[in-house]
Amino acid sequence: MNDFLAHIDLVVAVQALQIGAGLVMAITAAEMLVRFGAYANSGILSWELGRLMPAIAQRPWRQRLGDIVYTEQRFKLLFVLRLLVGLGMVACGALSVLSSWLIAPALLSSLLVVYRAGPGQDGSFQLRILILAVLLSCSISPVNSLTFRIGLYFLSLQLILSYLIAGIAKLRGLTWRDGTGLIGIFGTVYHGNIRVYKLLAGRKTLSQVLSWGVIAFEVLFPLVLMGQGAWVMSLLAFTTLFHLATSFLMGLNGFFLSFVAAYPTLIFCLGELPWASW
Amino acid sequence: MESVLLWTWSIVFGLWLLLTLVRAFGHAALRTLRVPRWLWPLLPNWNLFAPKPGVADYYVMYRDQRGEGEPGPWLAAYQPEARTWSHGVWNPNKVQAKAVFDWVQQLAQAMNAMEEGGEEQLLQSAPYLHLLHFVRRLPRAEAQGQTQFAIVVREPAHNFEGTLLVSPFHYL
Repeated sequence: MNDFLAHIDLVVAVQALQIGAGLVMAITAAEMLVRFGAYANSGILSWELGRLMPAIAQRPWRQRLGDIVYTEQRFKLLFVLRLLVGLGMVACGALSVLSSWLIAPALLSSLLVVYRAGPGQDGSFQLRILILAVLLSCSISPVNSLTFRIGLYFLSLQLILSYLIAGIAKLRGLTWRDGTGLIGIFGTVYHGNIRVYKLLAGRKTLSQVLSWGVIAFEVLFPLVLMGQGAWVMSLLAFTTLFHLATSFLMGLNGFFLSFVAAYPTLIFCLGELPWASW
Repeated sequence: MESVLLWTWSIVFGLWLLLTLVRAFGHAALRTLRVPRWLWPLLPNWNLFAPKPGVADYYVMYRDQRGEGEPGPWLAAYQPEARTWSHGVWNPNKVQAKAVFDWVQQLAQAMNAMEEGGEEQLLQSAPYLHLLHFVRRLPRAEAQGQTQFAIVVREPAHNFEGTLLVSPFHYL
Protein backbone atom coordinates (compact mmCIF):
# COMPACT_ATOMS: atom_id res chain seq x y z
CA MET A 1 0.00 0.00 0.00
CA ASN A 2 2.70 2.47 0.99
CA ASP A 3 4.65 1.61 -2.15
CA PHE A 4 1.60 2.41 -4.23
CA LEU A 5 1.23 5.89 -2.74
CA ALA A 6 4.96 6.55 -3.03
CA HIS A 7 4.82 5.79 -6.76
CA ILE A 8 2.42 8.68 -7.41
CA ASP A 9 4.81 11.37 -8.57
CA LEU A 10 4.41 14.68 -10.37
CA VAL A 11 4.29 13.08 -13.80
CA VAL A 12 1.60 10.56 -12.85
CA ALA A 13 -0.46 13.31 -11.17
CA VAL A 14 -0.44 15.59 -14.21
CA GLN A 15 -0.98 12.65 -16.59
CA ALA A 16 -4.07 11.57 -14.65
CA LEU A 17 -5.46 15.11 -14.64
CA GLN A 18 -4.98 15.47 -18.37
CA ILE A 19 -6.37 12.05 -19.30
CA GLY A 20 -9.35 12.31 -16.93
CA ALA A 21 -10.34 15.86 -17.88
CA GLY A 22 -9.75 15.15 -21.58
CA LEU A 23 -11.83 11.98 -21.54
CA VAL A 24 -14.79 13.64 -19.81
CA MET A 25 -14.54 16.61 -22.16
CA ALA A 26 -14.62 14.30 -25.18
CA ILE A 27 -17.55 12.25 -23.82
CA THR A 28 -19.65 15.30 -22.89
CA ALA A 29 -18.89 16.99 -26.23
CA ALA A 30 -20.00 13.84 -28.06
CA GLU A 31 -23.14 13.74 -25.89
CA MET A 32 -23.89 17.34 -26.85
CA LEU A 33 -23.39 16.67 -30.54
CA VAL A 34 -25.72 13.67 -30.42
CA ARG A 35 -28.43 15.62 -28.53
CA PHE A 36 -27.81 19.21 -29.55
CA GLY A 37 -31.51 20.09 -29.24
CA ALA A 38 -31.16 21.94 -25.93
CA TYR A 39 -28.80 24.50 -27.50
CA ALA A 40 -30.62 24.74 -30.85
CA ASN A 41 -32.59 27.88 -31.76
CA SER A 42 -35.74 26.04 -30.77
CA GLY A 43 -34.17 24.59 -27.62
CA ILE A 44 -34.58 25.35 -23.96
CA LEU A 45 -31.14 27.02 -23.89
CA SER A 46 -31.65 28.89 -27.15
CA TRP A 47 -29.19 31.73 -27.76
CA GLU A 48 -31.81 33.34 -30.02
CA LEU A 49 -33.80 34.02 -26.84
CA GLY A 50 -30.91 34.11 -24.36
CA ARG A 51 -29.35 37.11 -26.13
CA LEU A 52 -32.51 39.13 -25.46
CA MET A 53 -32.40 38.62 -21.69
CA PRO A 54 -31.65 41.90 -19.82
CA ALA A 55 -28.33 40.66 -18.39
CA ILE A 56 -27.00 40.30 -21.94
CA ALA A 57 -29.13 42.72 -23.96
CA GLN A 58 -28.17 45.63 -21.68
CA ARG A 59 -24.52 45.08 -22.55
CA PRO A 60 -24.33 45.37 -26.37
CA TRP A 61 -20.66 44.28 -26.44
CA ARG A 62 -21.60 41.03 -24.70
CA GLN A 63 -24.44 40.46 -27.13
CA ARG A 64 -22.19 41.11 -30.14
CA LEU A 65 -19.48 38.85 -28.73
CA GLY A 66 -22.05 36.14 -28.07
CA ASP A 67 -23.42 36.42 -31.59
CA ILE A 68 -19.96 35.50 -32.88
CA VAL A 69 -19.71 32.24 -30.93
CA TYR A 70 -23.15 31.22 -29.75
CA THR A 71 -25.20 30.94 -32.94
CA GLU A 72 -26.46 27.38 -33.38
CA GLN A 73 -23.96 26.26 -36.01
CA ARG A 74 -20.93 27.91 -34.39
CA PHE A 75 -21.77 26.53 -30.98
CA LYS A 76 -22.05 23.09 -32.51
CA LEU A 77 -18.64 23.66 -34.07
CA LEU A 78 -17.31 24.56 -30.63
CA PHE A 79 -18.38 21.12 -29.37
CA VAL A 80 -16.64 19.46 -32.34
CA LEU A 81 -13.52 21.36 -31.27
CA ARG A 82 -14.02 20.25 -27.67
CA LEU A 83 -14.34 16.64 -28.79
CA LEU A 84 -11.06 16.85 -30.71
CA VAL A 85 -9.24 18.74 -27.95
CA GLY A 86 -10.49 16.25 -25.38
CA LEU A 87 -9.19 13.31 -27.41
CA GLY A 88 -5.93 15.20 -27.95
CA MET A 89 -5.56 15.64 -24.19
CA VAL A 90 -6.07 11.91 -23.63
CA ALA A 91 -3.40 11.10 -26.24
CA CYS A 92 -0.94 13.70 -24.92
CA GLY A 93 -1.58 12.56 -21.35
CA ALA A 94 -0.76 8.98 -22.31
CA LEU A 95 2.47 10.20 -23.92
CA SER A 96 3.33 12.48 -20.95
CA VAL A 97 3.19 15.59 -23.10
CA LEU A 98 1.68 18.74 -21.62
CA SER A 99 1.11 21.53 -24.11
CA SER A 100 -0.49 24.92 -23.50
CA TRP A 101 -1.52 24.85 -27.18
CA LEU A 102 -3.98 22.12 -26.25
CA ILE A 103 -4.92 23.17 -22.71
CA ALA A 104 -5.60 26.85 -23.52
CA PRO A 105 -8.30 26.06 -26.15
CA ALA A 106 -9.79 23.49 -23.76
CA LEU A 107 -10.05 26.10 -20.99
CA LEU A 108 -11.24 28.86 -23.32
CA SER A 109 -13.98 26.68 -24.83
CA SER A 110 -15.10 25.68 -21.31
CA LEU A 111 -15.35 29.36 -20.34
CA LEU A 112 -17.41 30.03 -23.47
CA VAL A 113 -19.83 27.28 -22.42
CA VAL A 114 -20.02 28.66 -18.87
CA TYR A 115 -20.67 32.24 -19.95
CA ARG A 116 -23.45 31.33 -22.38
CA ALA A 117 -26.76 32.44 -20.92
CA GLY A 118 -28.70 29.93 -18.90
CA PRO A 119 -28.12 26.86 -16.76
CA GLY A 120 -27.32 23.29 -17.81
CA GLN A 121 -23.92 22.49 -16.28
CA ASP A 122 -23.23 20.42 -13.17
CA GLY A 123 -20.65 20.40 -10.36
CA SER A 124 -18.26 18.17 -12.26
CA PHE A 125 -17.99 20.83 -14.99
CA GLN A 126 -16.87 23.31 -12.33
CA LEU A 127 -14.16 20.93 -11.15
CA ARG A 128 -12.95 20.44 -14.73
CA ILE A 129 -12.54 24.22 -15.13
CA LEU A 130 -10.31 24.20 -12.04
CA ILE A 131 -8.35 21.25 -13.47
CA LEU A 132 -7.86 23.00 -16.83
CA ALA A 133 -6.72 26.22 -15.13
CA VAL A 134 -4.20 24.20 -13.11
CA LEU A 135 -2.99 22.31 -16.19
CA LEU A 136 -2.55 25.64 -18.01
CA SER A 137 -0.46 26.97 -15.13
CA CYS A 138 1.64 23.79 -15.21
CA SER A 139 2.05 23.90 -18.99
CA ILE A 140 3.72 27.32 -18.92
CA SER A 141 5.86 26.77 -15.82
CA PRO A 142 9.27 25.07 -15.47
CA VAL A 143 8.71 21.41 -14.57
CA ASN A 144 9.06 20.55 -10.87
CA SER A 145 9.38 24.21 -9.86
CA LEU A 146 7.21 25.73 -7.14
CA THR A 147 5.40 27.62 -9.93
CA PHE A 148 4.51 24.25 -11.47
CA ARG A 149 3.37 22.74 -8.20
CA ILE A 150 1.36 25.66 -6.82
CA GLY A 151 -1.63 24.86 -9.03
CA LEU A 152 -1.57 21.26 -7.84
CA TYR A 153 -1.66 22.43 -4.20
CA PHE A 154 -4.62 24.66 -5.10
CA LEU A 155 -6.47 21.78 -6.74
CA SER A 156 -5.86 19.52 -3.77
CA LEU A 157 -7.27 22.12 -1.39
CA GLN A 158 -10.30 22.57 -3.65
CA LEU A 159 -10.84 18.81 -3.64
CA ILE A 160 -10.72 18.69 0.15
CA LEU A 161 -13.05 21.70 0.34
CA SER A 162 -15.51 20.10 -2.10
CA TYR A 163 -16.10 17.16 0.25
CA LEU A 164 -16.02 19.23 3.44
CA ILE A 165 -18.48 21.88 2.19
CA ALA A 166 -20.80 19.20 0.76
CA GLY A 167 -20.69 17.31 4.07
CA ILE A 168 -21.41 20.37 6.22
CA ALA A 169 -24.27 21.38 3.89
CA LYS A 170 -25.78 17.88 4.23
CA LEU A 171 -25.36 18.03 7.99
CA ARG A 172 -27.53 21.18 7.95
CA GLY A 173 -30.28 19.40 5.99
CA LEU A 174 -32.98 17.71 8.05
CA THR A 175 -33.84 15.20 5.31
CA TRP A 176 -30.18 14.18 5.07
CA ARG A 177 -29.99 13.61 8.80
CA ASP A 178 -33.15 11.50 8.97
CA GLY A 179 -32.38 9.61 5.76
CA THR A 180 -35.58 10.55 3.91
CA GLY A 181 -33.66 12.80 1.49
CA LEU A 182 -31.82 9.80 0.08
CA ILE A 183 -35.10 7.92 -0.43
CA GLY A 184 -36.53 11.04 -2.08
CA ILE A 185 -33.61 11.37 -4.50
CA PHE A 186 -33.70 7.70 -5.53
CA GLY A 187 -37.47 7.92 -5.96
CA THR A 188 -37.14 10.45 -8.78
CA VAL A 189 -36.82 9.52 -12.42
CA TYR A 190 -34.32 12.35 -13.01
CA HIS A 191 -31.65 11.33 -10.47
CA GLY A 192 -33.11 8.14 -9.12
CA ASN A 193 -33.02 4.42 -9.51
CA ILE A 194 -36.14 2.37 -9.01
CA ARG A 195 -34.31 -0.68 -7.58
CA VAL A 196 -32.45 1.36 -4.97
CA TYR A 197 -35.63 3.29 -4.20
CA LYS A 198 -37.56 0.07 -3.54
CA LEU A 199 -34.72 -1.20 -1.38
CA LEU A 200 -34.55 1.97 0.75
CA ALA A 201 -38.23 2.95 0.89
CA GLY A 202 -39.07 0.02 3.13
CA ARG A 203 -35.89 0.30 5.20
CA LYS A 204 -35.66 3.78 6.67
CA THR A 205 -32.92 2.78 9.12
CA LEU A 206 -30.72 1.59 6.23
CA SER A 207 -31.34 4.87 4.43
CA GLN A 208 -30.40 6.83 7.54
CA VAL A 209 -27.23 4.78 8.00
CA LEU A 210 -26.25 5.38 4.37
CA SER A 211 -27.00 9.12 4.68
CA TRP A 212 -24.84 9.42 7.77
CA GLY A 213 -22.16 7.35 6.04
CA VAL A 214 -22.00 9.89 3.21
CA ILE A 215 -22.05 12.83 5.65
CA ALA A 216 -19.31 11.24 7.77
CA PHE A 217 -16.84 10.52 4.97
CA GLU A 218 -17.38 13.99 3.47
CA VAL A 219 -16.92 15.83 6.77
CA LEU A 220 -13.96 13.64 7.75
CA PHE A 221 -12.27 13.92 4.34
CA PRO A 222 -9.87 16.71 5.51
CA LEU A 223 -8.26 14.04 7.72
CA VAL A 224 -6.23 13.14 4.62
CA LEU A 225 -4.14 16.17 5.63
CA MET A 226 -2.75 14.05 8.47
CA GLY A 227 -0.79 12.33 5.72
CA GLN A 228 -1.27 8.83 7.12
CA GLY A 229 -1.13 6.25 4.30
CA ALA A 230 -3.86 4.01 5.69
CA TRP A 231 -6.30 6.90 6.17
CA VAL A 232 -5.61 8.32 2.73
CA MET A 233 -6.06 4.96 1.02
CA SER A 234 -9.25 4.18 2.95
CA LEU A 235 -10.88 7.54 2.28
CA LEU A 236 -9.94 7.58 -1.39
CA ALA A 237 -11.14 4.00 -1.86
CA PHE A 238 -14.44 4.97 -0.28
CA THR A 239 -14.87 8.14 -2.37
CA THR A 240 -13.94 6.24 -5.55
CA LEU A 241 -16.71 3.72 -4.86
CA PHE A 242 -19.06 6.58 -3.97
CA HIS A 243 -18.49 8.37 -7.30
CA LEU A 244 -18.75 5.08 -9.20
CA ALA A 245 -22.08 4.39 -7.52
CA THR A 246 -23.46 7.88 -8.22
CA SER A 247 -22.40 7.51 -11.87
CA PHE A 248 -24.33 4.32 -12.45
CA LEU A 249 -27.19 4.78 -9.98
CA MET A 250 -27.86 8.49 -10.59
CA GLY A 251 -26.50 9.01 -14.12
CA LEU A 252 -23.86 11.51 -12.95
CA ASN A 253 -21.31 10.21 -15.44
CA GLY A 254 -19.11 13.32 -15.42
CA PHE A 255 -18.35 13.18 -11.70
CA PHE A 256 -16.45 9.90 -11.49
CA LEU A 257 -13.63 10.65 -13.92
CA SER A 258 -13.41 14.34 -12.96
CA PHE A 259 -12.97 13.66 -9.25
CA VAL A 260 -10.95 10.46 -9.44
CA ALA A 261 -8.57 12.05 -11.98
CA ALA A 262 -7.61 14.56 -9.28
CA TYR A 263 -6.75 11.90 -6.65
CA PRO A 264 -3.15 11.32 -7.83
CA THR A 265 -2.62 15.10 -7.52
CA LEU A 266 -3.96 14.98 -3.97
CA ILE A 267 -1.74 12.00 -3.11
CA PHE A 268 1.32 13.75 -4.59
CA CYS A 269 0.64 16.96 -2.66
CA LEU A 270 -0.03 15.09 0.60
CA GLY A 271 3.28 13.30 0.08
CA GLU A 272 4.99 16.70 0.13
CA LEU A 273 3.78 17.34 3.68
CA PRO A 274 6.71 17.02 6.12
CA TRP A 275 4.66 14.72 8.39
CA ALA A 276 3.38 12.43 5.61
CA SER A 277 4.15 8.79 6.18
CA TRP A 278 3.84 6.17 3.51
CA MET B 1 10.19 35.58 -15.32
CA GLU B 2 9.58 32.58 -13.08
CA SER B 3 9.01 34.77 -10.04
CA VAL B 4 6.42 36.81 -11.97
CA LEU B 5 4.61 33.57 -12.85
CA LEU B 6 4.81 32.37 -9.26
CA TRP B 7 3.30 35.60 -7.94
CA THR B 8 0.60 35.62 -10.61
CA TRP B 9 -0.53 32.05 -9.96
CA SER B 10 -0.29 32.54 -6.18
CA ILE B 11 -2.64 35.52 -6.35
CA VAL B 12 -5.04 33.91 -8.86
CA PHE B 13 -5.31 30.58 -7.05
CA GLY B 14 -5.31 32.18 -3.59
CA LEU B 15 -8.23 34.46 -4.48
CA TRP B 16 -10.04 31.60 -6.23
CA LEU B 17 -9.80 29.49 -3.08
CA LEU B 18 -10.91 32.35 -0.85
CA LEU B 19 -13.92 33.16 -3.03
CA THR B 20 -14.86 29.45 -3.17
CA LEU B 21 -15.15 29.59 0.62
CA VAL B 22 -17.28 32.73 0.39
CA ARG B 23 -19.47 31.03 -2.26
CA ALA B 24 -20.22 28.25 0.22
CA PHE B 25 -22.25 30.81 2.19
CA GLY B 26 -24.46 31.50 -0.82
CA HIS B 27 -24.97 34.28 -3.34
CA ALA B 28 -25.86 36.71 -0.54
CA ALA B 29 -22.28 36.52 0.73
CA LEU B 30 -20.93 37.26 -2.77
CA ARG B 31 -23.29 40.22 -3.03
CA THR B 32 -22.27 41.56 0.39
CA LEU B 33 -18.58 41.38 -0.53
CA ARG B 34 -19.35 42.91 -3.94
CA VAL B 35 -17.68 40.10 -5.83
CA PRO B 36 -18.02 41.02 -9.54
CA ARG B 37 -20.90 39.13 -11.19
CA TRP B 38 -18.72 37.81 -14.00
CA LEU B 39 -16.68 35.86 -11.47
CA TRP B 40 -19.66 34.01 -10.00
CA PRO B 41 -19.91 31.25 -12.64
CA LEU B 42 -16.25 30.37 -11.98
CA LEU B 43 -16.77 29.77 -8.27
CA PRO B 44 -17.60 26.12 -7.64
CA ASN B 45 -20.75 25.44 -5.69
CA TRP B 46 -19.78 22.46 -3.56
CA ASN B 47 -23.16 22.27 -1.76
CA LEU B 48 -24.03 19.34 -4.01
CA PHE B 49 -27.54 17.98 -3.35
CA ALA B 50 -27.59 19.85 -0.02
CA PRO B 51 -28.92 21.04 2.33
CA LYS B 52 -32.24 20.20 0.58
CA PRO B 53 -31.81 17.48 -2.03
CA GLY B 54 -33.98 17.54 -5.15
CA VAL B 55 -36.69 14.95 -4.54
CA ALA B 56 -39.05 16.04 -7.35
CA ASP B 57 -39.39 15.32 -11.04
CA TYR B 58 -40.60 18.10 -13.28
CA TYR B 59 -42.72 17.54 -16.38
CA VAL B 60 -43.41 20.24 -18.95
CA MET B 61 -46.85 19.74 -20.50
CA TYR B 62 -48.53 21.78 -23.21
CA ARG B 63 -51.76 22.03 -25.16
CA ASP B 64 -52.74 24.00 -28.24
CA GLN B 65 -55.91 25.78 -29.12
CA ARG B 66 -56.96 26.53 -32.67
CA GLY B 67 -59.32 29.47 -33.19
CA GLU B 68 -62.21 29.62 -30.74
CA GLY B 69 -62.43 25.84 -30.34
CA GLU B 70 -61.73 23.73 -27.27
CA PRO B 71 -58.06 23.30 -26.36
CA GLY B 72 -56.50 20.01 -27.44
CA PRO B 73 -55.27 17.36 -24.97
CA TRP B 74 -52.28 17.94 -22.70
CA LEU B 75 -49.11 16.52 -24.25
CA ALA B 76 -45.63 16.06 -22.79
CA ALA B 77 -43.07 18.58 -24.02
CA TYR B 78 -40.45 17.21 -21.62
CA GLN B 79 -40.38 14.30 -19.23
CA PRO B 80 -37.32 12.89 -17.46
CA GLU B 81 -35.73 9.87 -19.08
CA ALA B 82 -35.85 6.60 -17.14
CA ARG B 83 -32.49 5.53 -15.70
CA THR B 84 -30.45 2.89 -17.46
CA TRP B 85 -27.07 1.46 -16.46
CA SER B 86 -25.49 2.96 -19.58
CA HIS B 87 -26.08 6.44 -18.09
CA GLY B 88 -23.07 5.75 -15.89
CA VAL B 89 -20.91 6.17 -18.99
CA TRP B 90 -23.09 7.82 -21.60
CA ASN B 91 -25.89 10.21 -20.62
CA PRO B 92 -26.61 12.56 -23.53
CA ASN B 93 -29.91 13.81 -22.17
CA LYS B 94 -28.42 15.31 -19.04
CA VAL B 95 -28.00 18.89 -20.30
CA GLN B 96 -31.64 19.15 -21.38
CA ALA B 97 -32.74 17.54 -18.10
CA LYS B 98 -30.54 19.87 -15.99
CA ALA B 99 -31.71 22.90 -17.95
CA VAL B 100 -35.40 22.07 -17.34
CA PHE B 101 -34.65 21.31 -13.67
CA ASP B 102 -32.77 24.60 -13.15
CA TRP B 103 -35.30 26.76 -15.03
CA VAL B 104 -38.21 25.25 -13.07
CA GLN B 105 -36.37 25.76 -9.78
CA GLN B 106 -35.70 29.40 -10.71
CA LEU B 107 -39.35 29.78 -11.71
CA ALA B 108 -40.47 28.37 -8.36
CA GLN B 109 -38.14 30.78 -6.53
CA ALA B 110 -39.51 33.71 -8.57
CA MET B 111 -43.08 32.62 -7.74
CA ASN B 112 -42.27 32.40 -4.03
CA ALA B 113 -40.73 35.86 -4.07
CA MET B 114 -43.55 37.28 -6.18
CA GLU B 115 -45.55 40.07 -4.58
CA GLU B 116 -49.26 40.58 -5.17
CA GLY B 117 -49.87 41.73 -8.72
CA GLY B 118 -46.43 40.60 -9.81
CA GLU B 119 -47.72 38.10 -12.39
CA GLU B 120 -46.72 40.34 -15.28
CA GLN B 121 -43.14 40.37 -14.00
CA LEU B 122 -43.18 36.58 -13.74
CA LEU B 123 -44.29 36.28 -17.37
CA GLN B 124 -41.26 38.37 -18.35
CA SER B 125 -38.76 36.38 -16.28
CA ALA B 126 -35.95 34.41 -17.94
CA PRO B 127 -37.11 30.95 -16.75
CA TYR B 128 -40.71 31.55 -17.89
CA LEU B 129 -39.64 32.91 -21.28
CA HIS B 130 -37.24 30.02 -21.90
CA LEU B 131 -39.86 27.41 -21.04
CA LEU B 132 -42.41 29.21 -23.22
CA HIS B 133 -39.92 29.46 -26.09
CA PHE B 134 -39.20 25.73 -25.81
CA VAL B 135 -42.92 24.85 -25.94
CA ARG B 136 -43.69 27.31 -28.74
CA ARG B 137 -40.93 25.92 -30.94
CA LEU B 138 -41.88 22.26 -30.59
CA PRO B 139 -42.48 20.63 -33.96
CA ARG B 140 -46.17 20.75 -34.88
CA ALA B 141 -48.13 19.74 -37.95
CA GLU B 142 -49.69 23.20 -37.97
CA ALA B 143 -48.16 26.15 -36.12
CA GLN B 144 -51.32 28.21 -35.79
CA GLY B 145 -53.44 29.32 -32.87
CA GLN B 146 -52.31 29.51 -29.27
CA THR B 147 -50.51 27.34 -26.77
CA GLN B 148 -50.22 27.11 -23.02
CA PHE B 149 -47.89 25.08 -20.83
CA ALA B 150 -47.97 23.62 -17.36
CA ILE B 151 -45.27 22.46 -14.98
CA VAL B 152 -46.26 19.27 -13.22
CA VAL B 153 -44.31 18.28 -10.10
CA ARG B 154 -44.08 14.67 -8.94
CA GLU B 155 -42.44 13.49 -5.74
CA PRO B 156 -42.68 9.70 -5.91
CA ALA B 157 -41.30 9.20 -2.40
CA HIS B 158 -44.13 11.33 -0.97
CA ASN B 159 -46.85 10.12 -3.36
CA PHE B 160 -47.27 13.74 -4.33
CA GLU B 161 -48.33 15.14 -7.67
CA GLY B 162 -49.21 18.78 -8.21
CA THR B 163 -49.08 21.61 -10.69
CA LEU B 164 -46.55 24.35 -10.09
CA LEU B 165 -47.83 26.63 -12.81
CA VAL B 166 -50.32 26.78 -15.68
CA SER B 167 -49.47 29.54 -18.12
CA PRO B 168 -52.00 31.68 -19.92
CA PHE B 169 -52.42 31.02 -23.66
CA HIS B 170 -49.77 32.56 -25.89
CA TYR B 171 -49.88 32.95 -29.66
CA LEU B 172 -47.72 30.51 -31.57
